[in-house]
Amino acid sequence: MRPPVAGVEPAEWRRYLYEKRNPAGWTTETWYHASGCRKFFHAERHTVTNEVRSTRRFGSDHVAGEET
Amino acid sequence: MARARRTGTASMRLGPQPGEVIDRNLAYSFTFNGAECRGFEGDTIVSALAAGGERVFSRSFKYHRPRGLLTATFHDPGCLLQVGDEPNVRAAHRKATSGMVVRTQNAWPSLRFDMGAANQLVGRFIGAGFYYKTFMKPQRLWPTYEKVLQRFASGGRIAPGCVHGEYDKRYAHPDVLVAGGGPAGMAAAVAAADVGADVMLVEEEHELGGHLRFGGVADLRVLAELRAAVRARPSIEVLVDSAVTGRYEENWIAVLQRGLPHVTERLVKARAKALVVAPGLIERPYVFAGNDLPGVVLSTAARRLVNLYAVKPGQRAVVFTGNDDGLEAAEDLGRAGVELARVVDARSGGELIRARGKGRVESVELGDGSKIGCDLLVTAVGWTAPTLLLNMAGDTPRYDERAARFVPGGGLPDDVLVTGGIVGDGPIEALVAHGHAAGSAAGNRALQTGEPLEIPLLEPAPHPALFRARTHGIVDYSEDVSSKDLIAAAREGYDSVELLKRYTTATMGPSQGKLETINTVAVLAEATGRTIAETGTTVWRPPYVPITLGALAGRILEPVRYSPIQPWHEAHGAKPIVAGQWIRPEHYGDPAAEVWNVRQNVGLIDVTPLGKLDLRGPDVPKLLNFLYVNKWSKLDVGSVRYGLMCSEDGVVMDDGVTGHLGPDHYFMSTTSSGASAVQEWIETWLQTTFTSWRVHVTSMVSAYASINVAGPRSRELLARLVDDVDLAPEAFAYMQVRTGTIAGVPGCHMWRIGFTGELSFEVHVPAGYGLFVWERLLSEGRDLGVGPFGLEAQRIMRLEKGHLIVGQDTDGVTQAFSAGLDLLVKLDKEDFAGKPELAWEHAREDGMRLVGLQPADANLVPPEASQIVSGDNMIEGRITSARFSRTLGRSICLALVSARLAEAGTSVAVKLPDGRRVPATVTEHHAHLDPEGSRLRG
Amino acid sequence: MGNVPASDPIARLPIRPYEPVRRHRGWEVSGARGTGVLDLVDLTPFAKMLIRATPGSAFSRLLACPLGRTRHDGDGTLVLHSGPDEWLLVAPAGTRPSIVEQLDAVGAGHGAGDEGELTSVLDVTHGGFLVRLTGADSNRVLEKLCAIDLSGRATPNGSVFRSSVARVVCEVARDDVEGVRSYLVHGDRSVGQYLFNAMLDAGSEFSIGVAG
Repeated sequence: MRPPVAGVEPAEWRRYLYEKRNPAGWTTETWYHASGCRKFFHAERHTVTNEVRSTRRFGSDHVAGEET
Repeated sequence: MARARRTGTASMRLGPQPGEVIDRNLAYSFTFNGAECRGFEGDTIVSALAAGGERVFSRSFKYHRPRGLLTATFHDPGCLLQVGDEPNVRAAHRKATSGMVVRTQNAWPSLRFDMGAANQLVGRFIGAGFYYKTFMKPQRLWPTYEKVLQRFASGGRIAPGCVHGEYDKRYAHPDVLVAGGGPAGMAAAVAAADVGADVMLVEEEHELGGHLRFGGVADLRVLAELRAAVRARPSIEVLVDSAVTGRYEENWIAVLQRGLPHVTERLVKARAKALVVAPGLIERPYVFAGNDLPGVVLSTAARRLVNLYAVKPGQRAVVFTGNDDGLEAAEDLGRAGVELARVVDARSGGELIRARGKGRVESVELGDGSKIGCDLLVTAVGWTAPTLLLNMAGDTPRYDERAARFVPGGGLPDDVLVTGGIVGDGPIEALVAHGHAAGSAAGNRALQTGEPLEIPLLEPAPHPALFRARTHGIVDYSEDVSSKDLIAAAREGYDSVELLKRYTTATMGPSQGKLETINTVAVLAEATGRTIAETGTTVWRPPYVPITLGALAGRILEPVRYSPIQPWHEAHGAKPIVAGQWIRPEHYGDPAAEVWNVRQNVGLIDVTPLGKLDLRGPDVPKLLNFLYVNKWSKLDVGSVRYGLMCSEDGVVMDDGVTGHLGPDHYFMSTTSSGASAVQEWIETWLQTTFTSWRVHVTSMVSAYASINVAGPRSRELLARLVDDVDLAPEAFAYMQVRTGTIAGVPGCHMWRIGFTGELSFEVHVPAGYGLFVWERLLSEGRDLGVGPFGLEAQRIMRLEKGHLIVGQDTDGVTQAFSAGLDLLVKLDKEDFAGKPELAWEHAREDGMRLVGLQPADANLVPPEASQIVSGDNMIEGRITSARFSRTLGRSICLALVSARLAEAGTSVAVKLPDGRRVPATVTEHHAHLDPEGSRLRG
Repeated sequence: MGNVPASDPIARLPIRPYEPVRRHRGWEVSGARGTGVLDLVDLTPFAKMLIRATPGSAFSRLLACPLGRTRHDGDGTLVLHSGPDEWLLVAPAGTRPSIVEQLDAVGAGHGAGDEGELTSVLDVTHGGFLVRLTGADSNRVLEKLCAIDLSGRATPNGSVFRSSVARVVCEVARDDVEGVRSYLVHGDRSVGQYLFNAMLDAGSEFSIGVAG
């Protein structure tokens, strides 16, 4: 998440730039379909087994396949 | 001339056999080590040679022991031969053809009389692991050791001038992929097809059938039925002489296809919805003294020779067996006229001690003390499960003590099924029924019909545990590792199977463990007092069969981008340069003359690869204000502004000019190398942060051919082709854009900008008309001295003007103030990409600065990236750009230097690649020529 | 104007045209015959319009084409719904699809729609190359260059997708011609020659020809 720039401290800004969480287990990631629709989407992926259990449009709460 | 030499001239060819694959009407000849040999269509190289009586085909890797055929399959360790330019051909699998030139490898001076055999005499001193112990010291003699070892290294020869093969790749999406075309595999393919699935059936051998092909009358009948069933179903695609080399995540399967007419090998990348693993079983050799003598063969090898190729494997045989397949082999041999001296059954106490002979089997010693003269010893001691695909799918096979082999462990995912001999044993009907059920299940799974799985039981039959006799013999034929070597290594402490493998190199040869892993494990288990199950096996790794680098590479698919004007550049001697994916003209013979012509008259440069983005929507100014470090809220229609983009860490990312073409319509240019990165950068912000902004971004890089018309006469030239736009300086000032018609082509944009520092117009022409307009400009401007100029001339001119190139004069850590772009950074803007870091950079006094640099020696052009040093080789910076300027008559540079040295007039030392240090002075401006820009703005 | 007599503008294909070279509506094209069995033809002169519109808006309803599918409009225009908010219109060279007039009538172009959503119409005739590959083996050619499932089930006649073809991103539409399997491939103009060569190379196994 991009911190508000007004009055931000260097430590916080650099956490935004460089620090990422990398858990072992289910993670919600953001992907970009570069060779296709050029849209961002979220995927829930298990970082150990590489299983993907859901995808949804960026910013959406709806899971793909559940929309009409 | 082929030397006359004694070859095996006794013909061992039998009369017609019911299941033979040879066509006796199509005979041909080929050569083996210079001597002529005959074969029939369908013969493999080795079967044809064996028919002619040949028994010895190679010399082993380390000891150079003579080797004959053992398995008569692809994996036969003694049958690697050189065919023409191709080394390491699996000659017991490769079909012989007319005129083939076949040679042995690893034998010098000849197969018969091989110097390397001397190794045998010192065998006890070159046991396993000797690589790690000998030829170590003195180290300075290593070049000599290398030459000596090379002489005895196995493997064939690759001639540097040999013609390379063609390869390609293909994607496939079968519903069901069946790995293995034996009875169970064929039945599975048929059943899957009948459920409605598209099936790909992959078989290693040249035809479908597996062991049925060299079986008895009943086997041949079932074979014919199954083959007909497969042929009758067009939804089954059959790939023979092909192998599944690995199964990757979610049934991403690699298949190596050989035997195609137009390519040497093809790699098929298949995504199958369901995989059926039906690889059958591989017969295992027995470990005993003399087990690698020519004439010692496996029972399946004997049956293949007799039944497929009508070749008599010997005259007088002893058969040692632990199962009924060995007895069937004995029957086949008897039918072929081989004298059966003795059939020894381990199940009734029979024991094989050793084989003796000089260069071939001459006699066999049994457990009861008898010694029997023979020229053929057939062993049938059991089976190895080729579990690679199961392992890769996540299963862990387990050792079945009763059956003396590994079986599937039950850990397969539900889109992988396994069937056939690798699962269990039974009459042919049982294998076929099991395959059928597995195929139906796979098809239903693939098509998600919801049908439940119903797969009958198929159990492995009990089998005596026969791995090593009382004597010691070769365990790994390819690597010349004996059971004695393994036991010695275990005693030295290499007592885990993975360590043992690496120390002795057992299982690391061409057959990759298929013939030797289980025996290795058994010997290790024996040496360490453990069971086979406790000892475990080494990891099965892909590829299952060797794959050429050519197949992995496939076709060279490297995208190349051309401007529409490319045909003209080619026709006029442009020296091409590769810039990313683009081919661009670097110059047309004399870049310095091109520079002169632009500064005096007018020149044309093709800058089509320039990034061009069409931006539409009411929120474009907000977007520009955020992306660029400078201000963009007020830009009139028809006006153009230079913009600098930084990433969130304040590092210079890209630059270009953006123009306001019309209501809610802007056009952004970027560097050519940054074009796609900038588009992605913009999409990221619009889609993930500023989601309510209404902006459409479309790349127009290739939609317009971009031509920069530069020089004092550029306006004059353009005016001859433009009627509907007033080009006079009062009407069309510097940093303005207009849309109009050029040479009759409507919809062209004209930009008054200037990278070269001269009066210039960059015209964007709809791409289809690019070549037409270029040629019209050239023909219209002949009397004005118009000529083309290339990238090199442009680089010289922009350097004369001090214009930086992102990525050349900046690097991955150069922030905006370091690049000297202070005036552009508007820190009073509320927010823009990278603002916090730029504010902090501005407050600091250290870091680097981009400066103009003038070498003291006007004729010296320091190579780009030459370091700038102080004191005792302290690095203070580097030259980022350097050229000789004929315009100014001296060398000119841009450089990044430490801030404390960046003051105009400071003297610095440049270290040249040859170590010399030369002085240079920091100039006042980046521009060496016309720093006020008067030529531009005229 | 100048010393040299003015000539009518000539537009050119991204590929070197095959002999015999002829003119068609201001474009220099090939008059090659092809084999009639498996042919590749460069259709770049076709008018191409890129429509960006919000899914579910009045504009997208006018376009009347579900995502991933194509639709033949009455006047010879092919509508391809290639991305969630993108439609490509392909029409004979030099024509302007009637759909574009209809979109203009409801306020498309540079403007914002009734609900303030943005719609834009861009002429991309020159920005993209377009080829048609026709023949029973056309899918076998493409499956050497493209990893997408080209079976009738996954990509039936009338479907469109965007993916990598010979390592460049293209729209691929299955658009059979008189019952014969046929694909349209649309990509960036600058890689047109490269992609044309790659398709001919992949098709040489099936005796591919070039038509004009």
